[in-house]
Amino acid sequence: MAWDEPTLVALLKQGHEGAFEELMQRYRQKVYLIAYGITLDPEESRDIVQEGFLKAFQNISRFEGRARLVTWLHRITVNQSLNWQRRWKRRLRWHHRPIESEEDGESIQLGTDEYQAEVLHQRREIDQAYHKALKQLPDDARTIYVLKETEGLSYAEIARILNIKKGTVSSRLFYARQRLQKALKSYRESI
Amino acid sequence: MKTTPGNPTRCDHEQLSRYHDGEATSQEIRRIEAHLPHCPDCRNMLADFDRLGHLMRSHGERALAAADTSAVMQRLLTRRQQRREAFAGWRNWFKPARLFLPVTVTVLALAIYIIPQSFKIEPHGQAPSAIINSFTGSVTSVMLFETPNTHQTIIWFKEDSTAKGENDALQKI
Repeated sequence: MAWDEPTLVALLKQGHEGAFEELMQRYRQKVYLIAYGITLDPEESRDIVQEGFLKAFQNISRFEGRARLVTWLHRITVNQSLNWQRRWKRRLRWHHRPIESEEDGESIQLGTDEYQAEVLHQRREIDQAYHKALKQLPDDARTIYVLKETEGLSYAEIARILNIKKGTVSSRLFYARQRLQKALKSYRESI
Repeated sequence: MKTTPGNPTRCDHEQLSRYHDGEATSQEIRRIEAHLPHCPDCRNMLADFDRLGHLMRSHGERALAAADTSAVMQRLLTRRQQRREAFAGWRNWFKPARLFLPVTVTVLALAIYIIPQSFKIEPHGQAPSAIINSFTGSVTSVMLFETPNTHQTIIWFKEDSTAKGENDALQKI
């Protein structure tokens, strides 16, 4: 099925099951990347993806088509992810979980034929340092950074999603970059 | 913010960040492009922005590869299916209930209108009510007439009785 966006929206508004599948098929990876970038938690990100799509489907009647469907989905995902961050219990867990346990099997396995063990070890170290540095960023700066670097959104699109000014996007993005740069200074040549 | 030897323009790293994202104005682009050849700091910074962006994307890609979003999608579809079935179950339960609707309406109508009528239950203070007591004497009559709001006493004299009394008196004389 290759519906164009207005057709997809119209079918979603009619409660068409195939359209719902198509929506998820098209955007699940984008939505997951945003959720993961903000929460840095694979398990929570999966839940956020699920809840986000359900929310989108329940509220599709309110979608007026002034923004693109993907922008609307981004907004829902960002809100869901930030709400997740605000729940203090999870926040507590989030800040106290050791970095090593967060990999959840997603890191490259040592001993594969593709890479030397030493190189892999260094990459793992950089990845952990990056993960830690991302985690230490304020929520708003990290959200903007994720939307920019993983989705390649323009400042205007990010401003629209977060309901802030373009100038704020620029300054917070620069702040995030500066912080990450400082945190990874010692790995500069290996990145 | 600083100037480098041989370069009159100042380093502006936030502007550089905008330049990296393709968000700088044409004036800023001209200024940065004139500045960069003379400033290794800014060139390094630009390269770092690139590296960090690449790191973010590869970090995300690895997370995505491990996430199995198709399983998430399947779980979501199953959940929706279960919800629909649950909703259908409720709808089936309500089907026979719909048959009782006219009966319920009739019973309610009876309760509200017909039953009070047949038992003569009248709402307080609405209909007129009167308690009448009257005393009839040989000369006068008295009637007590009461409504919920007023108490009236009506007294009247019997003219013929008066005449009869007068005749009696005359006869006695």
